[in-house]
Amino acid sequence: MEPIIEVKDLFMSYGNQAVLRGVNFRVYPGQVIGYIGPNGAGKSTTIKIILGLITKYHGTVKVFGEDIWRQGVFYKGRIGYVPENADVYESLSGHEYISFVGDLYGVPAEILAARATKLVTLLDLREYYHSRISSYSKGMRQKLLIIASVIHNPDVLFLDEPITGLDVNSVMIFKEIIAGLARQGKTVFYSSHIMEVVEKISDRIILLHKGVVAADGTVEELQRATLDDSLQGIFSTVTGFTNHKGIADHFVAAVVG
Amino acid sequence: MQDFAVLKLLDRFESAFRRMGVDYRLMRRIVQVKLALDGRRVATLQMSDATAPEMEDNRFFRSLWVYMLASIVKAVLLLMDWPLFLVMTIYISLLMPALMMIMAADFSVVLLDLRDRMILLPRPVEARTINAARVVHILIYLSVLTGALNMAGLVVGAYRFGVLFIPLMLASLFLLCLLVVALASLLYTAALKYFDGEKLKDMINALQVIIMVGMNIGLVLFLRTFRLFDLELAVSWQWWMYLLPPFWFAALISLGMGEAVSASMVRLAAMAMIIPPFVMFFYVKVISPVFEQNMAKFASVERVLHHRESIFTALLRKVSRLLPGSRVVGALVRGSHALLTKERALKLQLYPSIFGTLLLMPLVLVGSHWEEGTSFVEFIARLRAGHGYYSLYMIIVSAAIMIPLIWFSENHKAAWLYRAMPLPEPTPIVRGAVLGYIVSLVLPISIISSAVMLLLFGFERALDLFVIVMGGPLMVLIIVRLTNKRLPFSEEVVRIQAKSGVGGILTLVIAGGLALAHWLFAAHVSLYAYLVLQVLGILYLWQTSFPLTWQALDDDSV
Repeated sequence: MEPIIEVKDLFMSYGNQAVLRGVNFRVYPGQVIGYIGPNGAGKSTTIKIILGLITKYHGTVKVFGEDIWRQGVFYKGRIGYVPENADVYESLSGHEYISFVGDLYGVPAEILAARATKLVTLLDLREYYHSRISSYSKGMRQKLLIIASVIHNPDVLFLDEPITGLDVNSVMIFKEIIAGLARQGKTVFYSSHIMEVVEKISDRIILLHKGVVAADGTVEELQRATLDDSLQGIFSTVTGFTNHKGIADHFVAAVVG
Repeated sequence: MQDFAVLKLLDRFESAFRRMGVDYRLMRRIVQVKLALDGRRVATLQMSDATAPEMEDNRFFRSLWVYMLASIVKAVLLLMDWPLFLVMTIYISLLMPALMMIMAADFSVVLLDLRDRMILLPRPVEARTINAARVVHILIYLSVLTGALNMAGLVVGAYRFGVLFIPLMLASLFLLCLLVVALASLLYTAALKYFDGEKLKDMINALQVIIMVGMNIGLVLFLRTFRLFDLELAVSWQWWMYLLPPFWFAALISLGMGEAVSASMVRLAAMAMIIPPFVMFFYVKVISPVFEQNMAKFASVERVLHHRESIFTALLRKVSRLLPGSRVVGALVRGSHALLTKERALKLQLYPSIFGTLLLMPLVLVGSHWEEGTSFVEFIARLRAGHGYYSLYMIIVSAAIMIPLIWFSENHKAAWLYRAMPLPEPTPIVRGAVLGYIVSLVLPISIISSAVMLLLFGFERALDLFVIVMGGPLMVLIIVRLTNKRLPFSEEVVRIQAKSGVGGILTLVIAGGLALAHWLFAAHVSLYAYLVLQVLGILYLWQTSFPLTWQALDDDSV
């Protein structure tokens, strides 16, 4: 099968600080990828490069089988994105924002209106749909961004910390949505620090550490390789971090001491 | 962290703060952090550009020289050979609206900042202390600014009236700042008490716009009133002088200089010394805890169960979908309409100048054609004999000049959106935003005001008025062409006069040029020819003024 995303020898630096030092992976249609790694490992940077938000990189990034540099921007019409910082025009109402995004993607007006109404009703945003986003709670805002990312029925989804602030019930819905989208053949590229959720929904884990892929495989494969039973354990082993207990003890001692 | 000199000055008032029930040490520490933060605002325009050197640059101080320039103009007043009391009354009457305006526009954000509440309130800090820190922070800035506004005035005053003028003036200015900040805080407290959530923000926004429009108009009226009265006789006692702060401070200064000593003068001067500190004391001690309590209302979520779209928005939605060529242009037309009418920071810059002009126009027209005993018919006849309809250009200018606003937004980081879209070039985005500005602001304003003009000046002026209305889009496009283009709504909101790259003077030159061409064509050629030229100009600029590639846009916006 042709990979839907292919990243080869990806290098990128901010000033003289290298963020990505040769990232390589391939993603196939219908996969749900858990893209994890410590803070500052370069997860968001990778996603921004694939989306064309950052253009100064070295290496090859292919989406839908073709180099994003060569194919122009139309591939973006088949991608949905939830950015990590949830930056939106807060003065707009949820309705205005979703319509704006849908219009930019070129979703026909009738489909857009019908789809948006269904989605906001399902995620319990109906009552607030015409309120300003600035009045939304973190969770409501996150729901809105998730809806905005799928409003054009994309083939690939990039979700950067999409569930921060969602309540337990909404997270349960969200997990099922991801699984359902994957069954429909959608590819989901999912980045988060919440290991329990990543473990549950991902077919495959890509662990980025210090600008390179430090581990790549299904949760079971990684469990066998690292002899850890949880994703959290795998994470610590691969990133070479085992001293959490010691640090915690010292921390407590410093607080009470 | 730096220990600022101003804080040491503040230490002298420690006991006063304690008497107001403020934890002085804590407040001093909070103010110190606020001042340090102000000094560290990085002046980089692009968020992705982490390589830019961190500059200890404060935008605020960059704009100070503009104020200093304005102060020179005011200082000339001090050279007039009028009584000191009168001169100072006029001087402070000019200054006070300016301060109120700056307060409403620039400092309300600081006063109503919710973020430091999130940091401070969970800690054992009293609301009164937090609020006092807020007020002191603003007071420091307003004082520096007032100093700049009056630099020339101080020098000229000292030259003319003697060195004693300087401490007297400085004391008066400080008291004036105290009064302005306390009054503004009281006003906001009242607004906070009666409204909540987004309504509250709208109310406050409206309040700010009203203050600024009021100041604009008040200033002009004030100047006109003085022209009508005989200046020699102006210093006659009126009870309402006690109500107007400029008289208090003028009395304080002239009394201090030993001029015009009288019982009422002493009373006025006493008011200048007592009322500002008292109002501030009253505010911090009694009102400020209420202020902080009600701040929480800001965070409440509104539910809109029955949403109704305005007729204009619905019309815009339908019409913009019919736009030929690009759906993206249509999307941006609707998007920029929504943002321009909803973002409060944008409205605050947009509405005062536009409404101010709109409200002043009739006054100017009436004022220049109306005398005692003129009948309405005579008035209209006199009006129609002249070329007063050219004043429509003023309204068009006031709308067109604000076009650089479309580059800015309160949430400028949300502009990541455009780059994540399948758009080969940014042209339709920029075009759509400019078109959105024209159709949602320039056209409605020009159509409504030209309709009024049409009634006043008669249908024989219809063509002239039409030509002027066509000047609106033309002006907008010329400004866009001459200035740097960016992604719409992608930069942090600043006072755009400082940032837009097009000075008011340039805009006036453009408008003057259009009006002159209008007049020349009307007098010597034919207005229809001019109209054709205008249409060609608009089409030409529409085709050629927009960046064609992402690269060009990036180069332009640096």
